[in-house]
Amino acid sequence: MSAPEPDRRVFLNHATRALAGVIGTHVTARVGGWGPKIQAVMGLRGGDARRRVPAALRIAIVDTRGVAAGSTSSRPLTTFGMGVDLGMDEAARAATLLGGAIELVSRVSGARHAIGLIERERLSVVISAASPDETAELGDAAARHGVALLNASATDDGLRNARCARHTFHVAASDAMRADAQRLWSAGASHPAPRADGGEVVLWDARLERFGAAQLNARFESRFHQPMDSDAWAGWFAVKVAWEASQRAKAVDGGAVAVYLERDATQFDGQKGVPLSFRGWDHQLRQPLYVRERAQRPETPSSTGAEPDRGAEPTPVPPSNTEASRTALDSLGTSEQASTCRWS
Amino acid sequence: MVMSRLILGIQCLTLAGLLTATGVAAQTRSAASRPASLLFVSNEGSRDVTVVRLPDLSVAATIPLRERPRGIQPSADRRRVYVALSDSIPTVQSPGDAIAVIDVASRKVIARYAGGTDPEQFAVTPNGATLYAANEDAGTASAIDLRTGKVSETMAVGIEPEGVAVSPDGRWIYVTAETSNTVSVIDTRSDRVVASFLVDVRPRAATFAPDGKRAYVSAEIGGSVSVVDTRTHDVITTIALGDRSKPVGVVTSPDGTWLYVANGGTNTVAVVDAAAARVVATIPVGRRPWGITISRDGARVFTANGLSDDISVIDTRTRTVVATVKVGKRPWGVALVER
Repeated sequence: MSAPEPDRRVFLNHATRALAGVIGTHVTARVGGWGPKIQAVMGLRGGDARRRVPAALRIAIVDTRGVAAGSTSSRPLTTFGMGVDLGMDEAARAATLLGGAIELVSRVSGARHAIGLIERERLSVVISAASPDETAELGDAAARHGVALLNASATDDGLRNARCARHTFHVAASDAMRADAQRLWSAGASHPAPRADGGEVVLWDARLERFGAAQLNARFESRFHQPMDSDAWAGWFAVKVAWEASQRAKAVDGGAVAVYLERDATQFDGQKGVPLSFRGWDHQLRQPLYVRERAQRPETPSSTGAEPDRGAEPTPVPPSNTEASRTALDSLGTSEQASTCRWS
Repeated sequence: MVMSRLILGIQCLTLAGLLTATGVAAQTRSAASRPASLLFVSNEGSRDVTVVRLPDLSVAATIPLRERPRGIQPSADRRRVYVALSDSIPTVQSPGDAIAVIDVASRKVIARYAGGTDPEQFAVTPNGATLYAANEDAGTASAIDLRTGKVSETMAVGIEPEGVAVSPDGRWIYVTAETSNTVSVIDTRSDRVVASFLVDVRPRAATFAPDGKRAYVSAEIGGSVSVVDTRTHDVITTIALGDRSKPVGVVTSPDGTWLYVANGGTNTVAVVDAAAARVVATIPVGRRPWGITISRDGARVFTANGLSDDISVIDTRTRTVVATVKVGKRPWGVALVER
């Protein structure tokens, strides 16, 4: 589904305002000048206008498997929700150093509810773990209102092709990327021996150690007492991306965030050892994936408190020794030539 | 490959042994009467410190350690070498997290100071009184009083702090943080964080220019060095080193003209014209250089090469590697004690 003409104007209006803050200031940005010193705002709350802090990056979370704000459900926080919480904590911590603020406006479990928030709440960014159809609906609403949407879970290729939306950015790997990773792994391209059994493709694994992965895994585990999985990494990374984009662009509106994410020179660190960036043609995050054998899952700590045997690290694809450039990372998923995404 | 490197290393060693006219060799005017200059290399894989004698580049000693050593720096009076040790339990402070004190003369560990949790890099103030260490997992920096060996102050800095640098006048400490892409500025008069600023993606090491007016911060994922005006604590320009460079260690020449940056991704040292803010030469070294140091006269640069288990010795005049010396497993940092 292509965005109608008015959406493009919204994007471009936000873009024009944002560009002044983005061009040429990628590394000179000092974000101390956001008006008065603002304390980071955390916690679940929504719609309380008296407590609304100006110039905060306002984030809403959609987690269709998780608990809604104020819910009495006994369902535990999903690992995606835990990753979001870790990312929020770290962004709030950075805000105390650099100025600015990040606010978790609400955490909802349905896309319909989230669309209402997009329409009413002057959100900057929505981070979603939702079905492909819900993600598409959220993407359309985000585009209409100049909000950036970070998709942390839907793998559907259609969202990156015919149903692509200008304000939607995909942290989750696409089905095409996952299939390519498995194919490369099975062919032995990144593994000493060819594999017939079919590995499990993941964004993250709690056994990863290199490139700062051990530190991230330790921070997650010390807070939530369980291993960091792919959903948790996606939640953490989505918040990190939103916060950094806002810091670098020196702006909190979703259009400015989207412009920054779309820039060719923009790159992020996700503790995977290579610069991560969003493809210009479909807004898919370029990233190494990891393939692990089916039985190679990290175990949760045992009730006795003994350290679980976590075995060897899973195999990165593309292999980390290629010093994965953008070209290498683009060997996973839909190429620019094959993409059917057309920004309107 | 390994064998050819080994042979090359031996050849270079022999060559270096014959070199007496320039550089480090020239400083050792009367080797018989004065103690030799020594290079201390922290090996995080083999958990020890290799001591290399200069100028002949022979291994003088290997100092075993129980924990994983990383950051390594000489004391202000060069009678001691400090080395940061971490245990295998992140986020929890334990006796394994420490700053070990090596006596240069006896080449023995003579004391262990508390270093906060998981200390990684650190800097010693020019007056020799205080050591500032980055505590990677705690997100703090610790000030350690070197007269008492006790932590005198703990300051919250960015997330995953790593690099620590002290200004030549001892006033400012810069602490990089890898996840938050920040540098926190500590005023040593108050031991408070007085400013923080953004740098390029995943900052690792920092160093000050000899005149103190500029500081340089490497960014591993950004593939660059950020140049900082130390009067305003702001980035004024960024020097691109290449997409795959993955820079870590950075030092300046004694006159501030050149920067030498260890590019862990391309197994090279970039020579940067500091005034022009551009790379003027690239020197191939061992595999994955991280730690780097320079001799007082600027004639030699040494890199710790984590994946080839050796150090490279660079002649800065010819901009070539003149020797390679095998050390322990996964060398991380390198400290030079000149006599």
